[in-house]
Amino acid sequence: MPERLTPISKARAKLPRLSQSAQKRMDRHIITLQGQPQSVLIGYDEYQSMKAAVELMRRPDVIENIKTGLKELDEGKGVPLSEMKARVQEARKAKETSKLTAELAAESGVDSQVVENIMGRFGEKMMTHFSTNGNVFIPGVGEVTVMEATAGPSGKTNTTAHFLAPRPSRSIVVKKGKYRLGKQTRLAREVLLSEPEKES
Amino acid sequence: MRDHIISPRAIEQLADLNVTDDELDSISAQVALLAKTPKLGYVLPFSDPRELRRYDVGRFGLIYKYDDERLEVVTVVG
Repeated sequence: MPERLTPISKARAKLPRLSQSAQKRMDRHIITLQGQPQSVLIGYDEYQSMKAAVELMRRPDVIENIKTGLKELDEGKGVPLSEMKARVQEARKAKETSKLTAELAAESGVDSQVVENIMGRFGEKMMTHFSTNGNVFIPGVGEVTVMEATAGPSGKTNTTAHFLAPRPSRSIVVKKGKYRLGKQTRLAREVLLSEPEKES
Repeated sequence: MRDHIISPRAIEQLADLNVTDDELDSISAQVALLAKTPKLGYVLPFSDPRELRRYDVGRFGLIYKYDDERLEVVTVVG
C-alpha cells in the first residue's frame, strides 16, 4: 500500500489513472495543495475495509467474539455448515427456555434451578403422555389433547411450545377452548405457578 | 471445493440475533459462494496472523477466515 504525494494540479489531470491504481493496487494518493497534504484518494474496497475496522474498534464485544470463535475453531469445535440450522434452533430453544425459567423464578420467588427441574420433569411427563395417549391431565387446567393442526399465523415455532409439544406444527386443545401455540407460554406459567384446582 | 465450517460462537450469535430460517438459508448460500471466492469480503485489520475478512449478508456481517481446504465462519455481527 504505497503512499504517494500528488499535487492537486497533477491529480486533476491524472484522476482516472490514480483512481484505478487506488482500487487495483491499493495505492494511497495524498493530494497536496501548495505542498501541504489536503486529502487522500484510496480505493473503494480499502475504504470499506477501514469503515469495518472502525466499527469493530468501537465494539469490544465483537473483538471478544472473534477471539472466542478463533479459539473454538483452533480447538476443532467448528461445526459443518450443514448442521448450522439445527444448531441454531437448539441454541434458540435453550435461550428461550432459560429466559422462561428466569421469568418463572422471578415471578414465583422459587429458585431458578428448582424451576428448571420442574420444567424438565413437567415437560418429560407431558411428552410421555402425549406420545402414548395423545392427551394429558394438567392440574388446574383439565385434560389437554394434542391434535394435528397448522402452525400459528406467524408460521414461526416457539421454543416454549417445543417444550410443551415437541412438534411445532401442532396446537393444543384444552377442554373449554382452543389455545394457539403462542398461548402455551401463559398456560405453562399458570400451571407451574398456581395451586391445583379442586375438582368440583 | 473448500469445506464450510462455523464456530459455536457464531451459532450462538445467530440465535441471539433471532435469525430466521430464511436468513439461515441465505447465509448458507452466501458461505457456499465465499468458499469458492473467499476474497469477496473486506479484509479486517485484526491483530492475528490469520487474515480475517468480513462479508455482509442482509443484516448480518460474517467474519471468516479461509485457507485452501476450508472456509470458517469465526463469528457473526449484527
